[in-house]
Amino acid sequence: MKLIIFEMRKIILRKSTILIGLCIIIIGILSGTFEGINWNNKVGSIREYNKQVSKYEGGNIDETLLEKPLEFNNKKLEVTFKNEYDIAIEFKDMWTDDLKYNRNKKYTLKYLKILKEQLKQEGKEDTYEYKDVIKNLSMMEKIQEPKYYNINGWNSVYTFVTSTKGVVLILFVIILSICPIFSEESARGMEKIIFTTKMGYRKIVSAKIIASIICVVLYVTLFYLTSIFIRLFIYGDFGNANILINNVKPYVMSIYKFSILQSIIISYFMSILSASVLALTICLVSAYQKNTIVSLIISVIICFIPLFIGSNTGVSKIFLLFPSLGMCINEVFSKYLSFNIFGSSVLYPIILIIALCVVFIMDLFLIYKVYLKRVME
Amino acid sequence: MRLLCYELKKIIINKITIFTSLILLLIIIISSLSEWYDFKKQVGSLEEYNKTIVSYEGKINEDLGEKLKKEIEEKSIKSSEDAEALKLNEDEKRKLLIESGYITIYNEYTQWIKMTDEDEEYPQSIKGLESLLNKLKVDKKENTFVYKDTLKKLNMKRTVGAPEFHNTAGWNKAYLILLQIPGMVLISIMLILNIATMFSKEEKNGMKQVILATKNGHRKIALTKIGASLIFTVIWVTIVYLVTLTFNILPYKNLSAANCSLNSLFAYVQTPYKLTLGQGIIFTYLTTILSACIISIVFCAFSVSVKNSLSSIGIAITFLITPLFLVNSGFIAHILALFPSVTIAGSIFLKSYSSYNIMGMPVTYPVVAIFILILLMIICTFYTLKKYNHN
Repeated sequence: MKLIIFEMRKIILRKSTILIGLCIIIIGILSGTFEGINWNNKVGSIREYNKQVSKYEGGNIDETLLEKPLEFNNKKLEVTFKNEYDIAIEFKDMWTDDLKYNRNKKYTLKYLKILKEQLKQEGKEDTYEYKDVIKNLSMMEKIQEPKYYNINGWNSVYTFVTSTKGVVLILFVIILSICPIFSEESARGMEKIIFTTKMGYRKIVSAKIIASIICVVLYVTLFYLTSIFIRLFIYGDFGNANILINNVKPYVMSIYKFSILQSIIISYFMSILSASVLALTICLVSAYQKNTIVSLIISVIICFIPLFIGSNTGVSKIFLLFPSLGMCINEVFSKYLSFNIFGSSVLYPIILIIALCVVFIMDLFLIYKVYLKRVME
Repeated sequence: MRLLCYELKKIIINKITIFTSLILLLIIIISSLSEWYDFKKQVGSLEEYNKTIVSYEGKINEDLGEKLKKEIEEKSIKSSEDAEALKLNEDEKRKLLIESGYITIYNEYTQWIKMTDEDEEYPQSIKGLESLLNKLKVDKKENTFVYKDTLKKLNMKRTVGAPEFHNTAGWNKAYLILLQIPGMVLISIMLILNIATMFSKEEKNGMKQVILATKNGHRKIALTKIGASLIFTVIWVTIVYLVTLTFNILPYKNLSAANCSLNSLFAYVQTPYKLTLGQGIIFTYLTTILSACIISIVFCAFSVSVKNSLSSIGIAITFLITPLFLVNSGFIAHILALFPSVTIAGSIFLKSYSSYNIMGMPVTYPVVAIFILILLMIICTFYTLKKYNHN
């Protein structure tokens, strides 16, 4: 226990870690605040807007509403509300596929039904493609169409915290804090001392691993708490947590029947899992490499490249299984994605969690071996 | 001179530099070539594509735009009902590609001229600007900053002229890589790894004591280090530009598009500057070099003040990314836009009109930005020299 606390102190109380950790929290808070201030300027007063808009929330979207006279006592409010409602109509049309140019066409109920009939006619009922469509269709049918809700706070949370924007920030902190964990010891000549203590290298390596996982969990928690709280507070959006996730902009085509609050909790746990896997992977790199800078480069490559080239098609689908994608929940839950496992389609989140666990265990085994081997040389 | 060569050699002939530069260049080359391959597969033959597009090029024809818009709408409705009925051969595919490109530029063209709903407060279109000017004239606000600013914007836009349709295949992608986030990342990764650790490395190796004891003295060494890092920055920016341009433009056989006006590119329709595509690249090359040089001097300053290389990397990353995350919000965005990590991506100079209120006169963004950048450069150089002396 003492060992773990000692290692944790070493990680957290480093200048670079403190600096960049503070920086991401400040960025999270400031960007939320600036967004809120802009929104406040746009509508005049957020509280007033929330109050006046609340009667239009909930029910099915009425496309003729905007042509009727609305009861607002402020021109600014009315213009913004109309704009927002217009966007809500557009998203609903995207969901039902009434748009002319729909980039999410392939995920809509209408398209899937047509595709199913087509495949049936062609007699492809035994193929993977057909099974995939059936699965997608059955999940999609359970979802209700998106409605109008005044949830700008949650929109802002989901476009920052769980998307590439926020993930890049938290990745920097993880890399910079975990990277020197082993390589610094070798640079300072501590390795020889570690190997001669009565604790033995196994205990010290375990302490280092546990300390780095605890640190990562702390960072993710802190980041989530601060940036979510500030956004919800500014937009005054603490209600509405029970509505369906497909009302949030990036998730229109989501097939999962979660509420907003549930999905933020799920994404928090997914982030923690993938962040710990990443931390272990970086530990492994650090144990393998003597030079801190080189291990920094390798971990940057491992963390960031899948984030930018992982996509839904062809070979790059493999990159979707990298741990840094697990933090980017927008990619995971926003639409239907499945993998072909022996002819049956398995949902992407399940595969991702399995992949993460496998990498986790592999890393655990390898770290001890690699470290011992390097030191023995 | 020998000292300079020596420092340069230390930066360039180094496992880390060679390894990362190769990887970064490979990323550029592979992504460009894969894009080119996709494009070629789509159009069938490049020569045919370049031949077909000529008849559409030039000023936007409004009748043609409306006609094509209707046609394509009908086609898309048909295809949504029955995908099989719309199997195209290569000629038709090429034509469809060109026509949909024409329509996007046509849509932008209408936004450039006609007023939209959002034009009331912050007008972008010519009509919107004119109506705002008239309104201000009626209100007798001709001496205000808003009036002068709007007048300047309108005049600049008029000199540029309406957007035209040109064959910009390849240039699109080159502009996307060089002038936006990818270019910024490609250039700054190299600077972070090499320059942010330059001084702290010496400290770690124990070379610093040796340097301070030589007859050259600390000032000369610090100056040559800064000089070497600047030369390295210029070399790296040039390599990135050359490689990107070569692999994005030559495969499309579209070098002649360098003479097209900048606003024939989709993302730069609202530009207030009368430049051609080639001139745009040269201009942003210069501004990128300027900002990259400042970033490297700032990194030198960090590296002098912090002993640990990892800490200086941390500070460098913080310095680079903070403005990028806060940049799209109101008044603060206006100030943050002057940070070198924002200006290193040149699109901010060319994309749209932006100005500062300096004693009641509207001064365009590039002038202010370049002035501030040069000022920052001088301050940081002095700081580095002084700090190194102090240590």
